[in-house]
Amino acid sequence: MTTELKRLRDKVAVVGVGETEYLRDSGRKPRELIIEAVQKALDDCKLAPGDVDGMVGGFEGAQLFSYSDLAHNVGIKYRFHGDMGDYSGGNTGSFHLAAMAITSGMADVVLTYCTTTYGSLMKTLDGEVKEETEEVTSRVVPAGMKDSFEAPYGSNMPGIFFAQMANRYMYEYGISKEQLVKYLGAIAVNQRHNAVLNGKGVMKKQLSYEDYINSRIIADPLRRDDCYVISDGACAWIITSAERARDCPNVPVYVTGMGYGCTPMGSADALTQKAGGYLYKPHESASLEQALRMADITREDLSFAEIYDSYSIQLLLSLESLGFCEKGEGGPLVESGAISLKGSLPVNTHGGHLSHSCIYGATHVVEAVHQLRGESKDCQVRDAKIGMVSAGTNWENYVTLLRRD
Amino acid sequence: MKEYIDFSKGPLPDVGDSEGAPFWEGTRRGEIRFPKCQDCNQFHWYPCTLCPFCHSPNLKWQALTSQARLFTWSYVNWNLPAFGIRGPYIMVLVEFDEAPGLYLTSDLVECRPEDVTIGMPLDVVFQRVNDKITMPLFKPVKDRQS
Repeated sequence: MTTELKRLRDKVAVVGVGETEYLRDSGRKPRELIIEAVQKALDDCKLAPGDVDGMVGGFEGAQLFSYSDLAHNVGIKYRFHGDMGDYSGGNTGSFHLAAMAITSGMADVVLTYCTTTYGSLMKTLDGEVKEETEEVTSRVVPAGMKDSFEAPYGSNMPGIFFAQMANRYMYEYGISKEQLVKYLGAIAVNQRHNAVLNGKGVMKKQLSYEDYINSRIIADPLRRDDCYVISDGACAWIITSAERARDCPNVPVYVTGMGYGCTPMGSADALTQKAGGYLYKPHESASLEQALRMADITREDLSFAEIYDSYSIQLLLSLESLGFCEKGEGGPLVESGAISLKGSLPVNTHGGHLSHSCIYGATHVVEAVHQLRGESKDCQVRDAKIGMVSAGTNWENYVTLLRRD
Repeated sequence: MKEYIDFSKGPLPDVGDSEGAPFWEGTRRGEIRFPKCQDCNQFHWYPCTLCPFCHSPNLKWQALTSQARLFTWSYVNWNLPAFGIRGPYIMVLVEFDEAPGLYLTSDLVECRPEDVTIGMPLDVVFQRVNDKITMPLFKPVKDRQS
C-alpha cells in the first residue's frame, strides 16, 4: 500500500496561503472571513479565481459557505469538489483529496477553505455567554447518546473530558498533580511565547509560569490557559501540481507524505469510552508511520511539528501517541525545552490552538507553509526543511508532511 | 428521597429514545442496565444496533450487579451560564467489575474533591427527577478500606 502511495510523493505542492486576522469576536460572518482568506491565498500565488478548478472544503468550510456560493461570489468555475468537513481532522486531511484530484486529472488547481466563528458566538470564556453556546458545544460534542447520558451531569464543555483524562494519566503513570501542572504549564507558556512572537494570533501578551498557575481552574486540573482560545478567523490554501508550482512566485511547498489512521468507534464513544484507547490513540501513530513511509523519512528528519492542541493535556498525550517519546514520558520531554523554537522538535511554532487561534488545525497548516518558505520571522525555525501537521479526533487522525527543496 | 443535584435547569435525558429507553426503565426500578450480547456474552456501552465485538444482533439489556469503581473524574467549579447547570460538581466515569473497559458518566456525590481516589468503590444512588426520569448518581462506599 505504501509503495502505491509513494507515487503521490512530491507530486503536488502548496503555492498560496491566505488567512484573516484572528480575533475573539470579529463581528463578521463566515462568508466574509472565507472570502477574505480565499482572495489573499489567490493573491499570494498570483493566480486568478478563474485558475481554480477544484475545491475541497475543510472543517468548517462548505457547511458554513457552500462551494457554489463561494464560487458565485469570487468568480470560480469548478469541475471538481470534495468535502473534508466531517470533523476536526479535515483541514489537515484536505491534502489527501486535493492530491488525488490533481494527480488523477480531476482538477489542476485546488482551493481549500475553512473558518470558525466561535468567538462571535461565544464572546469570552469568562464573560457573558450567548444562547448560541449550546449549539456551539453540541457541535463540538457529537449529539445523540451524549445528550442523554452525559450532558445532564454537566458535561458542558469538552475541557471536562480532557481534565478526566489528565487525572487518569496521573494515576496510570504515578505522576503527582504538582508535577503534571508543571508539565502542562510548560506547554502553555511555550506556546504563548510562540504566539507573541508570531503576533497574528488572539493572545498577544506573554504568559509567565506564575500567570499560568494563577489562571482560573476550569475543570480540575485544567486551567484557563490549558484550553484553546476562542476565536474567529478563516484560512485558505491553494494546491497544484509540482510542475505548475514551479512557475508560481513562491517557493513550492511539496506534499511529501500523507497518512491516515482510524479506529472505528460508536458516535457517542468519543472522549468518554475506551474504544480506540482512552488515553492513547493508536491511529495517531498509524497515520504518522504511513506518512513517514511515504516520504521515506524518519521522525528525526522533521524540522518542526504542528500538532492539534485544543488542550495542553491533549498535546502531551499526542506527543506520546505519535511516538516522539515513551508513554508517560511526555512531561520530561516538554519540560526539557525540546518543543521550543530552538529545541530538537519545535511544536506549534505559531502558538497553536492554545494561544494563537482555534480554526481546527487550519492555522497549523498555514504556519507550516510559512515556516518552510522561511517567512515566520521571529518564530522561524532555522533551516526548516520538512514539517509535520497532525490533526484528528478520537477515532481518526491525519498527518501531512510538507517539505521544500 | 434526597436531592443531591439540581437537574431542573440543565438538559435532561431523552428517556423515550428507543435505543436508550431500557436504561431509564432500569433506573426507575433501581437498576443500572447495559446491553449484553447473547452470543459472545459481553456487555457494551453505549447502546449499539449490533454487538461491537462480534457483530451479533442478539442483544439483551441486563442489570449490572457487580462493584462499581471510579475510573476517573474532574472537579468542575465553573459553568457556562447558558447551560444553567449548578456547580461545583464532580464528574466521574464509573467502571463496573463485570463490564471492564466500559465507562458510565455520572456525578459523584457525598464526597469532597480532596477525598476522591481513582479505583475507589462506589455505591449507586438513584435520584428521582420526575415520573419518567430517575438519574443514577454515585457515592463512596462507606467504611471502605483506605
